[in-house]
Amino acid sequence: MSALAWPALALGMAKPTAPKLTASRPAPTATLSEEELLDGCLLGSQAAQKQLYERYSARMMAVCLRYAQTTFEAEDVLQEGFVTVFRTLAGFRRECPLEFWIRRIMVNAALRQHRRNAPLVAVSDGDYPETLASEEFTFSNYAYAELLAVVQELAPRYRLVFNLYAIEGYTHKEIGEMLDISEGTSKSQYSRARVVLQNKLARLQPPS
Amino acid sequence: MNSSTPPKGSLEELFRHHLLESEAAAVPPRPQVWEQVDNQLLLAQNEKYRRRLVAYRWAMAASLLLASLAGGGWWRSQQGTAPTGTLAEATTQQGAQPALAGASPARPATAASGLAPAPLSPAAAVASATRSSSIINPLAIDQTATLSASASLAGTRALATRTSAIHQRMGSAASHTLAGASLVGSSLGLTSAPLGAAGQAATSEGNYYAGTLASNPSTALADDNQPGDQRPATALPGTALAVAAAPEASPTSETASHASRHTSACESSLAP
Repeated sequence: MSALAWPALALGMAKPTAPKLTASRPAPTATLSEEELLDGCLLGSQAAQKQLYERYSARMMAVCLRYAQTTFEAEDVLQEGFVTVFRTLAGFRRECPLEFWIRRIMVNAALRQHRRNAPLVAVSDGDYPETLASEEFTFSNYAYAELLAVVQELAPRYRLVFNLYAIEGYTHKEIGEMLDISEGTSKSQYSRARVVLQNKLARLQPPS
Repeated sequence: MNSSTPPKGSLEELFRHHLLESEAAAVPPRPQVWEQVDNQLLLAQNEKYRRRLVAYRWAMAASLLLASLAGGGWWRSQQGTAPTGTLAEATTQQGAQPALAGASPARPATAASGLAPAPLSPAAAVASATRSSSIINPLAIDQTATLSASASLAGTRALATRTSAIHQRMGSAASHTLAGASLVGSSLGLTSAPLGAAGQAATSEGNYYAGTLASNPSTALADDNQPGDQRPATALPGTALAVAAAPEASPTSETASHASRHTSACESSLAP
């Protein structure tokens, strides 16, 4: 802040501006390709980091919203995930698409946050059937926001298992290893989540 | 609603269709998220710099410490090697020591050599090694055994036993001569206690003792520290036993005692 700004501040004619923490880092400039983005991020360029964030933040926010219950929680997961991305970018081998790698990091960040907030409790495999009768749903009857709200209303452990199995495509064995539960527990929780979702969808859009 | 071909599917397909395909059109996060991410990255970068600075400080402190230790040690060694220090001076005591017990009167000659402990500077610890050079009449002496080495530094006790026998045949006279060979330290592996560098450093001094031994053909087994402790020299041909018992020196004393016992047994030569 310059010396000339102090009288204006004293008279209340100007508002103080908060010092920017990122003032010492270079500002973003031109649009870069993915390889240039990766190289720039590895060199610590803020421009490259911001472009990478802007390129993938919307899609990763959608991923985080599915695992989180609220938007704020999803933003926390997104923030933690992108910090992890920039810290571990040197370990990215560039053998798989960058988006897939970032998505994995976001999923792991969501799992970490879920462990911190609500530890998983193993439940008995119980009374729920592992498979349900297939029921056909008309896609056009449902909107993205409605389905997202339905998923977010699930219990945290059901939401995790459903997302990992039905959306991400993990097997129950992999889910059991990721969540530190047994494969049967993963199956039973998925079955319960499926029943809950069917009921909610039935209430949301009654069949004509 | 398109009633002609409505896409249908299971529950999983429904969610996969909507949630995955709508990701690209999802609402981007608030701009504050990026600021927080950038802030965390900046903090992480500052933390990395701070750790590096701490590591540099430790490395610098360790380097200074090592340099100061090395400089101090070098200065101390320079002070220690100053000419103020005196090496041990061996005093040959001829006749002062009691006669060697057990020496056969028939033996033609015995040599007595006594070494008195002398003050030593710490850096000039000397282990004496006695060398018996064979200035021996080959016709008269059959065997000469000498021995001797003992190294003691700063209160350590070194026990050196060395046996040396060198037969020297003298041409047409066909006389056997066992000349006490000069063996220094552990050069021949005959010492029971390693002498190390100190013993080897005393080679020249041992030569002096050997010369004394050769010039004084009287046998003596002298313990410099305990004059009363005299053990008879066993007249084993070609064998000499030297036991040096160094006094327990105080850590601050600069004395490194060294004693050597010389036993020389000279026997008559073997005529062919």
